[in-house]
Formats: sequence, C-alpha cells, structure tokens
Amino acid sequence: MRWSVFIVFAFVAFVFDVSLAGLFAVGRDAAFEPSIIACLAVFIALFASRMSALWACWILGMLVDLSHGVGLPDATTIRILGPHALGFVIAGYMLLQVRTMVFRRRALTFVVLTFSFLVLAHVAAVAIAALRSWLPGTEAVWAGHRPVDELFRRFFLAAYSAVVAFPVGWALVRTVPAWGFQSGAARSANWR
Amino acid sequence: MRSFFSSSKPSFAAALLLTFVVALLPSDWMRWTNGVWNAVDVLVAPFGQAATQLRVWIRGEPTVRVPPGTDVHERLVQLEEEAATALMLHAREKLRVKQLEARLAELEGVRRADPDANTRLIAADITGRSPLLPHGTIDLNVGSRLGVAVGDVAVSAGADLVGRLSEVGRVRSTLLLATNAATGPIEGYVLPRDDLSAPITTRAFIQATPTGTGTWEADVESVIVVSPGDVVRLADRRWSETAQGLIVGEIVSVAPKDQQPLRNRIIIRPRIDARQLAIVTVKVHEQVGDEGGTP
Repeated sequence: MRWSVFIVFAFVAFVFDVSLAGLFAVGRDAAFEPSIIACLAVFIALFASRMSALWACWILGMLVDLSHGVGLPDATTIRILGPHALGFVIAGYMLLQVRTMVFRRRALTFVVLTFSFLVLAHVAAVAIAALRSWLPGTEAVWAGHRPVDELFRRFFLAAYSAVVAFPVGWALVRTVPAWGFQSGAARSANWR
Repeated sequence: MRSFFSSSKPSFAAALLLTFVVALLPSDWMRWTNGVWNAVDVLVAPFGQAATQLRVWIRGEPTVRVPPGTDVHERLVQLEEEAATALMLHAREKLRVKQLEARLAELEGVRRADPDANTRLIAADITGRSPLLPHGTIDLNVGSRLGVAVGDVAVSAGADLVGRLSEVGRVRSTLLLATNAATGPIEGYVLPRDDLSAPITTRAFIQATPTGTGTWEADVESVIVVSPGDVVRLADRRWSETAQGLIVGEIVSVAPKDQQPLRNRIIIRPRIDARQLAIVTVKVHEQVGDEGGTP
C-alpha cells in the first residue's frame, strides 16, 4: 500500500467528517452523521496487507479520537486518545479474518462489513471509555448519559454509515490502482 | 515506511499497548493531547473552514437568532418548552370555554323550562360515579356552602330529571339517580308526545317503579290510550316543589298484562343517559327573602 495515497485519502476523509458530514446529518437534532473514515478503514482492511491494514486502522481511529474534545470540570478540554484507535484495530482485525470468505467486489459486502466494522469498533470504544470512567482522576467521555445509551445511538450511526458506504465504496474501488495494493483481490477489484 | 508498516509486528504490539495505557491515563495527564490536536488542526483547519462554509452555503444559515453568549442548544430547549406551555394553555382555555358554553346553555335551558324566580339554579360538575353500579350514584362538586341540601333535584337539558341529592357535604354532594331502585316508586302523569300542553285531567296518572336497569315500569288502565314516545312528568309530593312537572322519561313500550287483561304494562326510559353527562343543574327552592342568583 502506498502510504502517501493513504495520507491524502485519510486527510480528505477526516476533513469531510469534521466539517462536511453535517450536510448529510439525519435524525432528531441531526444526531446521526455518516463516518467516511470508517468507510476508508473498511476499504483498506479489505484490500491491504494485514499489518498495513492494522496500522491504517490504528491511525484512522486515532484521528477520530483527536477530533473529539472532552470537557473537564475546569472548563478546559482534552483529547482522549485510545478508545477509537483500539476499537478500529479490533474491528479491522475482525475484517482481516473474514475478508477471504467474502466477495470483496460486491457492493453489499462493503455495506455489511462497514456496519459490522463500526458496531464492533463502537462497542470496543465505549467499553474502553466506560472502563476509563471507573478509574480515579478520569472524566467520562460521554458525560450525561450511560454507555448503553451511547451504544444504542452509535448503532444507528453505524447503520447510517453503512448506507453511505455504498456510494463511497464504489468511489474508493475506482481508486484501487492508485493504492498499490499487493493482493490478487485488489488487482482484480471491480465494483459489482 | 512501507517496510516498517508491513512487517513491524512488535512495533504494532507496542503501539497498541501504549495506546491502551494512554486511554486510561488520568485526565490531568492528558493535557498534552491538545498539543497533538493543535498540530493536526493546523493542517486541517483551512480545508475544514472552507468545507464548513460550503456546508452552510448548501444547507443555509440557522434561522434562530439568540443573544450573544447564549448557548444555542439551551435556547432551543427553552423555546421548545415555551411553545409546549403555550399550546397546553391554549388547549386548556379552549376546553374551559367549551365547558362554560355548555354550562350556560344548560342553565338557560333550565331557566326557560322553569321561570320561577324562587328557584335558584346551580351548575354542578360531575366528579365521579359508581363504576360498578351504572344506575347508582354520581358525585357533584357542589355542597352546602352553595346552599344545596338533601332532597334538591338535579336536572339536565332543561327539564329532564336526573336524580335527587342524597348526601350533601360542604363542598360536594352525592346524587342518587332517579332510576336507582332505592329511589322508590315515582308518581307522575303521561302526556302525549305531540301535545305536551294537553290538560292533565285527561291524562293517566301512574306510579312508576324503578326496575334497577335504568328504566321504570308502571300499569295503566287499558282504556287510557298511551303509546311509545309519550312523556311522563313528575307529580309526586314526596319530591321537592321544584321537581314537580319535570320530565321523568318517555314510554318505550306498551304491552297488555296477562294476569290483568284490563291493564297495560308500560316501560319508561329516561330521555338522557345520566352516565354520559358532564354537568347537571341543581334546582334549589328558596323561600321568599332568601338571597338568589347563581354562584
């Protein structure tokens, strides 16, 4: 995988998620926005080599962690690094296990795997955040509601992102030649 | 870089371990993460700002204007609460107006039917009824404070008898329905439905006994012509003066008695179902010199 290409795509996906995703917000109070970064992680996990895919998931998850500020009692904020980075790695590892058993070039595959990826990543992230909130001197990442409620909300977020994954996946598969993936599946990638 | 990311399993394991430790660090030890974000944001901010402007241009500016320093979410919640309160008050007032209109119509109807200046009319809300006994009692929100007393009658729709007060408290009372078996027989006379002004002397006097099922039954001489739809009016000295002449009900069936061929058995049913009422009018007879008027 060409990491320069990854940086460009990660940058675009990150900018989209932090600024443009609101255009596609749905639900009450526009609570659900699609995650293009997750679509990118799924795409890489499907076609890149194992270690490259895991590193890419870790970096993308770290970007997600960086984009969420957590307020402290003294009216300052911090960025809690780790929950999404580890969640994306766990979910990416799951994808690496199943990617040989799926038709990577199918649109439905991309949709289903994006949903599964995000559900697993969110479960892991919320679990780590909940574990963190039990420790002394730490702040709850999602103050004001329970982890179960946050999981419930993220379930719908994952579903919405999976819907958006269809056109995004189609676009990403068009760019496969630029990525320099080594696997045979990537070389013959063609969206169906 | 490719070789590092493709084959550095120990490095990746170390990165994961370090990430896990960092994720659980106390908040005060995490302030350095703001520096990392600042470094990333320097790169992202210009593009993010342009993308944000594009988003606003496409989706439009928010239409809600709030004072500077006001939290937008808090203001929206406040506006939603105000709107909900206004709608609730509006609905409540509409209901109140409807209730007042119904009460006014009820009082006007009773007054038209009984223009006696010595009769005071008190509109009473029905606050409850016996759920297990449909023809039992109903509770009213008027009591002795307003001058009602045991024995006063309650009417509806102008002149239709509902019942008689059986228990009066200071601010509430209990009304025993006229159809209740405990009320006992009611004496009255029958008027043809198409000639309510016919002389009483030409009509049949009856004694109607409550059946306990919301009707009365009575016997009349077969030579006296009565038919379904005829109206029975109260003429019973055991009831208060204000009750005399009120409509008890209408005849719903006339059938010959097998044991007494010269008599017919009639069934009388109230014209108004008291269980469906929301308000009734209590008629209070006042002696000359008492204060009059409605509360």
